[in-house]
Amino acid sequence: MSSLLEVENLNVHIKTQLGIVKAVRGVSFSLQKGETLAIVGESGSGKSITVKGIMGLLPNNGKIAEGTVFMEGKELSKLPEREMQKIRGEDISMIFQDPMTSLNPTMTVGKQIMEVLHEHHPEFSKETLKEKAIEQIRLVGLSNPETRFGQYPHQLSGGMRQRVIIAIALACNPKILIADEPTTALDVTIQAQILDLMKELQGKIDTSIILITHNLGVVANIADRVAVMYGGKLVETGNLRDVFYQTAHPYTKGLLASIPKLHEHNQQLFSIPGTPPDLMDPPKGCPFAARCPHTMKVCEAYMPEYTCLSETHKAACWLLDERAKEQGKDGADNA
Amino acid sequence: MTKTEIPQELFVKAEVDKEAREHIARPNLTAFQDGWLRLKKNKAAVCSLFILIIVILLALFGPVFAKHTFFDTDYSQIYKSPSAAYPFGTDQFGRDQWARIWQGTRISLLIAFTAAFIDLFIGVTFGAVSALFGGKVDAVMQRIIEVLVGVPQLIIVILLMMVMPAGIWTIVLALSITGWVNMARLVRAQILKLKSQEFVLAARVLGTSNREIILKHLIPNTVGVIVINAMFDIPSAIFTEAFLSFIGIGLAEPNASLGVLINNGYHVLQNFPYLLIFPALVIILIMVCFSILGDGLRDALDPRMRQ
Amino acid sequence: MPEEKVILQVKNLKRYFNVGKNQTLKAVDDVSFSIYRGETFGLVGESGCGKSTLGRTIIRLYGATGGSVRFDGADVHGKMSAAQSHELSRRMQMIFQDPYASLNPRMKVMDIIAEGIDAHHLAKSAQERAQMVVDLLEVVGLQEEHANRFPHEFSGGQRQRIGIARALAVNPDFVIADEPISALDVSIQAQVINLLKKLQEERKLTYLFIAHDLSMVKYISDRVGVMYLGSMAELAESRELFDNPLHPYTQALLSAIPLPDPDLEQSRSRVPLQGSIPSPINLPECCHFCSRCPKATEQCRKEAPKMVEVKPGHFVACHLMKSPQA
Repeated sequence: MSSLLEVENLNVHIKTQLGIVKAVRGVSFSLQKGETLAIVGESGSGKSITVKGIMGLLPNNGKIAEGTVFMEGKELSKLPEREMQKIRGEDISMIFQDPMTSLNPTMTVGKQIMEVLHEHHPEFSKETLKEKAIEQIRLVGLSNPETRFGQYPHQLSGGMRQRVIIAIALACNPKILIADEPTTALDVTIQAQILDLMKELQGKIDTSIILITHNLGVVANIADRVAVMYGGKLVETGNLRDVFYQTAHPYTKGLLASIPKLHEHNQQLFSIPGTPPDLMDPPKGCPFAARCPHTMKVCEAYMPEYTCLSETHKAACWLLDERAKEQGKDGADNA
Repeated sequence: MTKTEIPQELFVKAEVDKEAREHIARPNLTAFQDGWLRLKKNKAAVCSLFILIIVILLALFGPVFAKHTFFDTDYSQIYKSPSAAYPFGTDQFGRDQWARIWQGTRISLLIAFTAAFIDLFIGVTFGAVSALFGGKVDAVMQRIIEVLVGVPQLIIVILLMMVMPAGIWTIVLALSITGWVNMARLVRAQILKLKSQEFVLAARVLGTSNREIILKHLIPNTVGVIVINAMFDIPSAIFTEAFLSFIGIGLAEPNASLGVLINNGYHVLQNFPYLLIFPALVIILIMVCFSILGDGLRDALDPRMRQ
Repeated sequence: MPEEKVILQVKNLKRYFNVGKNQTLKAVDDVSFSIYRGETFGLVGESGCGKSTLGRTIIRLYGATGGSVRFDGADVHGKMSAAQSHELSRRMQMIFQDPYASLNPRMKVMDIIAEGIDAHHLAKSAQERAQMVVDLLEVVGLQEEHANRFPHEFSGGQRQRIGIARALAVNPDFVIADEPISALDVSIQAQVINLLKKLQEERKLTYLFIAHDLSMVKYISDRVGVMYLGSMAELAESRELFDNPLHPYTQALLSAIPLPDPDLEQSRSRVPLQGSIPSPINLPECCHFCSRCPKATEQCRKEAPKMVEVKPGHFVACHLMKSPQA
């Protein structure tokens, strides 16, 4: 199985006035054709910076310090900016969190879609472009595509705007769609609509999706595989069911336990104490050691390596090490 | 270190310091220290600050080191090129240009700082009152500002110069009549924005008195805007003063401001260019440095820039 | 529950905003409910439904356009002496949504938390004031060393806890929590919620908990009200509302929440909801949900439904509920 996107040991550093923030520290993952990979993590866990690094969209003070990103055999991190720009439009598209600021307020919706189409198909005539743009608007489920074509972003609601953004992102049938918190700014009823739309479109045009989110409900709804990030590291990755039902890493467990379940009553809500580490000066060992209920001495001193739990499921935690299991029952068992 | 080399003894439960979970590693900085730290990183702003300090020191003490006062005439020494005795040369009355330039800078800066201070005082009061009272008071006060903005500043200034004697205080008054408008608008906008911020709402919910809200919440958070605007006010006042002097309605002889000196130099530009070049250089230095420093301060003081 | 005493009674409360010529935004339109002493009343709804405006009107940040709010029998918007009004502001407190905007960036944590202590002269000396602040910091899980720091040095969750300490400093009876967790990370949300629960037990607090996250509201609330476009759509005990939602909007809202459980999430059926919330300006006289309701009838488009008690303690504002088939 050859993967579409292969990220190997990615390290991203961001220079700030107070020092260098090691925002992403040795992240590796791959994306298969047609699948949806969800990257889950809290703010500051490095999930957004990871995909920005992949896309070559790091802020000016950020740079890839180490690691490679391969897409279909091409090393993206080595490409010149102009070729990267081409890839960003044609092969990889991106949807951002805020539907208010992602669209140009002075241009009609139709024009904005036509512009993207024109960029990649300069051979199309104006009429073809318009036809394709309207088709695109219809595809994302907006009513009266012809009317919408001539409207400005401020005439649309947040949910409609997010649909337009999806229409623009998918205008060139990208191989990968990166969605950075696409539903966070939306209300729940609208969020459900957008998730349904993304699933439906993925079936239609066979694109792979990288979804960045902190909402585990959204992940459960749409993802095939899950990667959990914490403190700039990938702490657990596996198939959807692996991560939700055979949870291995204490952070993932804590995260799942800290969401109240809608269909259970009188439950006790678990909360992870403390706050995430400062990545200006990341801990030497496991980034979660300071908040973990099962911290061992080794966790504070050494960074855990990945333990493969199955072909698809791996986690970076010392509790999964043979020696921790021998040590007694205060380890993984009672978690 | 590979996985197998890690000693077995380390696989025991560790005591995690619970206090450390809430520990903040970063140094404890006040807003001022934080701003200064940021400003220090901005090379251009620090350079500007340095140059400005030198210029101000020269304006204060430059004339002291000169052998001549700025109004001493010496008809045997007219239009002398720069030399050891006269570092910047002499003018048509044989006056020492070095002494005159620093005297001019002193007066220009005095006018600018005074005008900026008056702008600050009126502007902040007007803007704050307008924003705090709101409603009808605000509406009336805003109309006053609109009227003032509608009348061209130059006309007011020229009219004023005609009825009042030429001098420093006339220029200061002329600059201040409309100069505060910008400050008033910025302060009003900032306070209006702050009034709906959650920390001000929280203060109201807690029963904090209006006086305390103004003193503790509104003013401290407006200081940045005020300082930065004052920084931009100063070069613009210097420029206006120079312009007025240049078109001949500024200070009278033998007093000198940078504008007066440039005006004199301009008449003899082809023969004695140094009479124009030196005062022009000083005015450019002052204006550019104040602008860069103002920009630097804006970036340094903006709390949103903090990470 | 008749034996429980009502601490806050909201009756036909209205709050309108004029937004231009002949345009009225009815942010809160004829809302009535009561909150009992010691309970947590959850208020949910999507953005723009007026839940925050309702909270701010109750605590007198906004005046009321009509109706009344009675706190312990006293009309909070009515005439009262300055001392009474000041005392009321001690007894009703608020926790805000944005942990970044709710703390003055130019004040130290010590002074932020002590703001209410100063306003109500609760400390006799500077020493006592400092001790009170340190105690409050400990109550919310922070330490003495944090008192001399500025808010921007804290993480979102820590800031929110400082905001809670500030509200608690004046020993309130009733606290309005206006979306206190929506700006926080998941693991931090649980911390704050558990802290609020602990404080409620220790200090006998009554909460009005405003949020859009239904699962959290269900977890923390005893009773829940669902708002849609300025009016209350449904009100019931938490468990009853989530097990047996009657209003079509509540049903749709509940079914739209993505559940963090793949099997459950991918197998359940949703109540589809078309379109989005209409503009709240100049709404016609009708059931405000009729434009999106899958079951809307002629009657729904003509007149606004009244709140009906369909079961003891379970109120619904929906024309479909008139018939006893519910």
